[in-house]
Amino acid sequence: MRKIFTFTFALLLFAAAAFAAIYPVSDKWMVNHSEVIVAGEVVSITSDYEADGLIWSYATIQVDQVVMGLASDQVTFKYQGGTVGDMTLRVSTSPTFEEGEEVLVFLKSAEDGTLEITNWVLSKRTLVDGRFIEVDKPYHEYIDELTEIANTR
Amino acid sequence: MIRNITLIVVALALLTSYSFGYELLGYDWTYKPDPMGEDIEFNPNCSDYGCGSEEDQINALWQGANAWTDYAKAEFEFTYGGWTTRNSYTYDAHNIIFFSPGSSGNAIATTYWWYQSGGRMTEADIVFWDGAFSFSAYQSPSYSEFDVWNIAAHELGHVHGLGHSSVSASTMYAYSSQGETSKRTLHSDDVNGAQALYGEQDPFSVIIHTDDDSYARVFSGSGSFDFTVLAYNNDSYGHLFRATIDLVLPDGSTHGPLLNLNSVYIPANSTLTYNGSQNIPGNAPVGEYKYRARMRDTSYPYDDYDVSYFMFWVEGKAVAGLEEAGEGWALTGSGFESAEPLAGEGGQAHTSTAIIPGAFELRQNVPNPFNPNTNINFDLYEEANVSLQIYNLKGQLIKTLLDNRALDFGPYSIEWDATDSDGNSVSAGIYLYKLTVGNEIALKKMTLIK
Repeated sequence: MRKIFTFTFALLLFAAAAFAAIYPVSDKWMVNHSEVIVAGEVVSITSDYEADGLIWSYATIQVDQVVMGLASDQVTFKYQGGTVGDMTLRVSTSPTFEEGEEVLVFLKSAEDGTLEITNWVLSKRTLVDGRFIEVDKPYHEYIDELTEIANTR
Repeated sequence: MIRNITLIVVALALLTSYSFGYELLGYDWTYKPDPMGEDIEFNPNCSDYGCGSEEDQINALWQGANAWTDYAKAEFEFTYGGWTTRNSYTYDAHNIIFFSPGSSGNAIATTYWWYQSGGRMTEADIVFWDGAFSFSAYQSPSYSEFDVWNIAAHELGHVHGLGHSSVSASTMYAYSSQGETSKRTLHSDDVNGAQALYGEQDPFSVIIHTDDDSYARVFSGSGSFDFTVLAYNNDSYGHLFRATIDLVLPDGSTHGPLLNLNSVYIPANSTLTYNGSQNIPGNAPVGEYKYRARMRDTSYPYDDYDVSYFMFWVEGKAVAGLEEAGEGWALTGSGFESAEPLAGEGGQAHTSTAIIPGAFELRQNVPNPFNPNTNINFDLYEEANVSLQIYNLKGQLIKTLLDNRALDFGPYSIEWDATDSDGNSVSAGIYLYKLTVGNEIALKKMTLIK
């Protein structure tokens, strides 16, 4: 991965207001680095140990809205963390999902061909009372914004 | 037009319970028998230039742990587990911190918690993603670097079982910035969170530190360092205590006490200070030392009220020298004589929401006013073509620093040396700098003084 500090021409990298653990990016960045963006209800979550020794979870969304990419009625994607038996792994920069949640997710292809979240916790928007709380915008307004970005990329 | 970044804690919070300020995750170490504590091991494998030596990194990481041990005054302490070469956050019964050169999107650091039913945390690992971001283990990180101590203190708060706080001045606040060091020490909200989990310590506590905490203390043979010991009494009564300083040698044995003050009186709700200088003899064994201050009961001198320590290292071939000269582990100093009342801790409450930024944010140049160099700083939250130009107050273009340059996301700082496009120095006065990102423009003023 490239270092963001390699830019020359007397550029130094400066103190940005940033997450303690995540450097923020815009919606445009999220759209440009995603292959699939969908909104819908989380209908199931399964978790298991994978070859890397971590617990991964697979969440399936019943899709209400396809913002970008090819998606069927249901989309399954993976993220780090979850519970297997008596053991739970939580990851500070990873989002968590619950069955019944209404969400919008930014997804990309993983190396194993499955879908995974695009960029940690920034990959999830949570719909509460008709608004996506992370951006404080109504459902349709935000969907339209993302669609416009996707159409112009 | 620039959209300010407003921040949503909700998106980042790992909620199981919530109260104003600190946040309890619902999994912790409280099931452990007293004294509650966890070994944490450090892998000083940071490859960034600013990380310095392995000892620099160990010191900075340990200071992050010490922030909790020394200031939280909760019945939980991290203990130094030593160096490790482990570099995996899988479940292996070791709590570790390491640096990963790998790619991890926009994550700066990540804590991996493993816990079982009942919220019994069984392991916590922290990874600093230095493949994407630069870190500093030095006392003063540059604008381009994340401070290891600062970030470690935050992540180790997570390891305690604390989530993000809504108090912006707290270490556990969700957001930080490059160059920030203010979260190295704890805010009262962090202290309250730790104590809510683990209960409050005895009212007596001690902290020992050196003035160069984040620099490696590596000595080739002989040397010396200055240190300060702070003794606290939060009780409503004055007490006598016994103050000692000793060493844990590289072979694990104890040397000392180097200081042994039997009856130090500390008034109610007060702090005592001791300033000292410690000599290191030329024949000191090579290896890692713990320099340890103890605050002990006067009646039961082996009962510690509290212990605090830092590490230093002796390297190279040990030679005969000061030991033979009679100096040895000489400690000189004075203090513990006049008490200072404990100050109350204040905090800035901050209820914030939101999070997804716009395309960019232009910041004030640093320094300002300036002569002749200043840095113009901005954050880019997506890839974009960027121009940066300097104008005078008549609207005349003085210099173009960036000309429609394609940049990736990230923080940037562009230096201007107060010259025009021909290389001539410009006169003192107010200038404007204009940042153009795509179709959006931002403008700020700066003042050149002569």
